[in-house]
Amino acid sequence: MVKIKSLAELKKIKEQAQNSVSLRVKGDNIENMIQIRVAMATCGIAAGAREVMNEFVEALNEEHIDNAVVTQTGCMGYCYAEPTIELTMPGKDPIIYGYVDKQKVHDIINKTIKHGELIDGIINSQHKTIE
Amino acid sequence: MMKELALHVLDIAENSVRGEAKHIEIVIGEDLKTNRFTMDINDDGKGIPEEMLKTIRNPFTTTRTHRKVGMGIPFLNDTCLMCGGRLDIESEVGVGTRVHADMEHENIDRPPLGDIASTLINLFSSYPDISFAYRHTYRARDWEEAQEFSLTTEELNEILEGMPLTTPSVFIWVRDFIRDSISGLKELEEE
Repeated sequence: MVKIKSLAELKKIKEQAQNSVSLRVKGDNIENMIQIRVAMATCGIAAGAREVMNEFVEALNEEHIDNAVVTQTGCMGYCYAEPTIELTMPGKDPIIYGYVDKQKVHDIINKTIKHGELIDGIINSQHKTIE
Repeated sequence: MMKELALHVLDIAENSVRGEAKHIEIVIGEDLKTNRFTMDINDDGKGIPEEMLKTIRNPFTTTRTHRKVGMGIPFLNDTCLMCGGRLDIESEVGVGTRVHADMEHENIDRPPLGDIASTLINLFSSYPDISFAYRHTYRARDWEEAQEFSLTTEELNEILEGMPLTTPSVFIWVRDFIRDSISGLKELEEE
């Protein structure tokens, strides 16, 4: 148990992150960010939503995509298709993908996020974001 | 059913979030000496009305608006009962809710704790406006005293000075830090 010593390392990680994303303006202009919201209610959690969220964060880190934020949302009502995610590209309507697994996370990043190409598994084009 | 108890923690903590909590405390206790495994999720949210508290273990009790069942509490209740323990829920409207899950540590039906580090970083990063406090104690069968690991989002935010926990490299570092600290709990400190 060497907690104090280890936590201090977080400062370095923070500084590194600050340098690599110096161009990004955060917080106040969330509309300009790619938003990925993972449905994290009982249905989503039981189906693997937590791992999907982890995979998104790791993949975005590897791909150096700095203008994306991964967060969670409640049950969107598509319990049969969990894990589900809501992807909002800046200035566009949200898209819901269902049956998301680790492979699909990479497909969504490589096709939809990078090239705007839609892939299989879209749930409902009429969807309006909740809250 | 949930494969890991850490998924139950995530699920119950989401209830606290929806209950508009500002502070959420999560405590895991592993005591091999007394053979108890406990999980506590305490919040200062809006609380559960007495009428609802009576039927909360029933899956047809839910605050959801999309559908009419809620499986979170009933699942955890069943798991506790299956594992020689029980689930206690205390709540007061306007004050908050305390969920206490108790199980036998060495029960064959007890799911593993699983990836609690992922559960915590998912919560910490998704809800920056809520302050979280985590505590984990572990006592091996032949130890007199338990070892403890604790972490609060306040400590993290002090270091991060405004950088969000959603920043991928930060998210991953904090998750791995929690993971390592918890596995470190199970090794006796060398004097």
